[in-house]
Amino acid sequence: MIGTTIGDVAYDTATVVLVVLVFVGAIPLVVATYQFSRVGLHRWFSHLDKVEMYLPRVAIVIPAWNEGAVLGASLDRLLGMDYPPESLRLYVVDDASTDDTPEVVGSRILDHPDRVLHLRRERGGEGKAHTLNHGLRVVLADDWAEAVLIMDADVVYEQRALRYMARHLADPDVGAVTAYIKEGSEPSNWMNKFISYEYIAAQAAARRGQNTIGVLACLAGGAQLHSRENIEAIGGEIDTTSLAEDTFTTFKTQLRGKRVVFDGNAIVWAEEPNTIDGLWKQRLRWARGNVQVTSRFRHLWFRRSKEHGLGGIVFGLTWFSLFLLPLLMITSSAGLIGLFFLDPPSAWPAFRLLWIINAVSYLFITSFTLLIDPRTARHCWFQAILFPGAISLALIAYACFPRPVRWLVDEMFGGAGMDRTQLHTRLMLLFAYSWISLCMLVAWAAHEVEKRAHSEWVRKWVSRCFVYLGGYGAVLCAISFTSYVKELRGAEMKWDKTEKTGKVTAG
Amino acid sequence: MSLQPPAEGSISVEQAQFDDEVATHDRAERRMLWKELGSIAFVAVVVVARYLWLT
Repeated sequence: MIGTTIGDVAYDTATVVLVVLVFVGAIPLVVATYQFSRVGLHRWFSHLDKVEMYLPRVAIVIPAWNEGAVLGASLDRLLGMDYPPESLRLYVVDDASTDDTPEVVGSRILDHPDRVLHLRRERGGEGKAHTLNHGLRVVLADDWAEAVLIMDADVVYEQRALRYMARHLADPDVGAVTAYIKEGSEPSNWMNKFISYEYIAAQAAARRGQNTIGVLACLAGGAQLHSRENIEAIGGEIDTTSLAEDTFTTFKTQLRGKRVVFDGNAIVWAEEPNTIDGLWKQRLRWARGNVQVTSRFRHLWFRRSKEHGLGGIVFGLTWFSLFLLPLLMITSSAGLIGLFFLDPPSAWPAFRLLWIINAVSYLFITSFTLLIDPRTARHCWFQAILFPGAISLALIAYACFPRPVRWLVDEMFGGAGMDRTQLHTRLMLLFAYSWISLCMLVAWAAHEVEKRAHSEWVRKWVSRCFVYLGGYGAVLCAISFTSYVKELRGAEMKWDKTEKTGKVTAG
Repeated sequence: MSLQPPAEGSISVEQAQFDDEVATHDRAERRMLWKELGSIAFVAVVVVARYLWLT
């Protein structure tokens, strides 16, 4: 009798634990939905009430390593910006380029000798942060600059973007401002369109949400304007020990009690990867940087402080629900698989509720994101819909409309001259319960196929098909998971530069 | 935009343009709330339609 009771208690406890594990997977969905729900309040937290017309003398630091193909257009755009010419100087830090970068800069110096400076590093290849620091040392050596704009060589600024950013620095509480980076490849392919949608969600929406809680996770590397006072206060240089120098700068600024602000009206355009491998390299660098940031600032997570908001609960949940997303997904599907074997009647309602939460979150975030930037949404709506992947959408449909989906499956079995047996049903359920983890394997396979397949057709179409089935989000999760492994192994920190071809058009 | 020196005692053209831009951006940010409410309404319609269809 006692044995039976103990057995029942153990069984019930295990079931409860597994149900809890399943709903760990709902945490990122709830946090993301909450973050997006704050975007509507942005007007009242947007800092627009405190802006004033302010046009400081700005030193623009442009790191350039073999950027001949893209640098000319960027420089021309910067020189033609709607900003007082006498208040703008361009410092191109040439990281020992071996292409025509020096000639491109030289031709601009001939036309604008007082506004363009060429700083040449004879020993290059140490990474972007070292290159930036070379420029910052020169800029801070004299007192001309009142503000410093750090950008990437390929980024193209809209005419008034710098004015919009500079106005926030009129408030002495603001240390730095970042702009809305948009994917600007022309022509753009399917991958560029996924990134276009991602950038509306991750920047135009999520960063507005972060503005409302008063903490920003990251200043965009391609567009960050600092007050001189801020750059000097954080040591006059960029962190060189990690792959996420932008995030380190963002955290250091906020740690000293200064605000970091996102202005969604200041728009700049960048050329982003157009292949899975290009995306993988770029995001692996970012993801490894995030692992380093999480570890380096471990003393401040979830510890409230009067000086800064980095230790706030909302910011901590926002950071960790993204940072740990792959692990949360694996935990969730492990819970479902455990229930499938231990207590099958509990598995189905748990699965269904999880995916209904997913459906509501998906509908809200996707529709809202498309409305936030309708101009960009017009050319990436298809990728927006398929962002979670076709199979996840089918599972959302299954969770919300189980009977019609079962009927459809039976029709498909009938069409193939088969009857759906108990074994078929169990295998399909097991697949559905595992999918939250399996999708990352499909994303990983997409990358492997693109990298290794001999046939051009297979490389191009099969890998693309995998991404549409598994989801672009799954690709990002697979990359995050790879970043954990690389960091745990202490893999070499390589600065894989994203290949740029100069096909960006501003709008 | 032409940058003209401000006439004495008048608001500079640049300041007027700056104010106009801030007002435009202010309206754009206010529209975010309506867009969000539109999305919430869309989700609500889908959920209600699903519920009615079920019953």
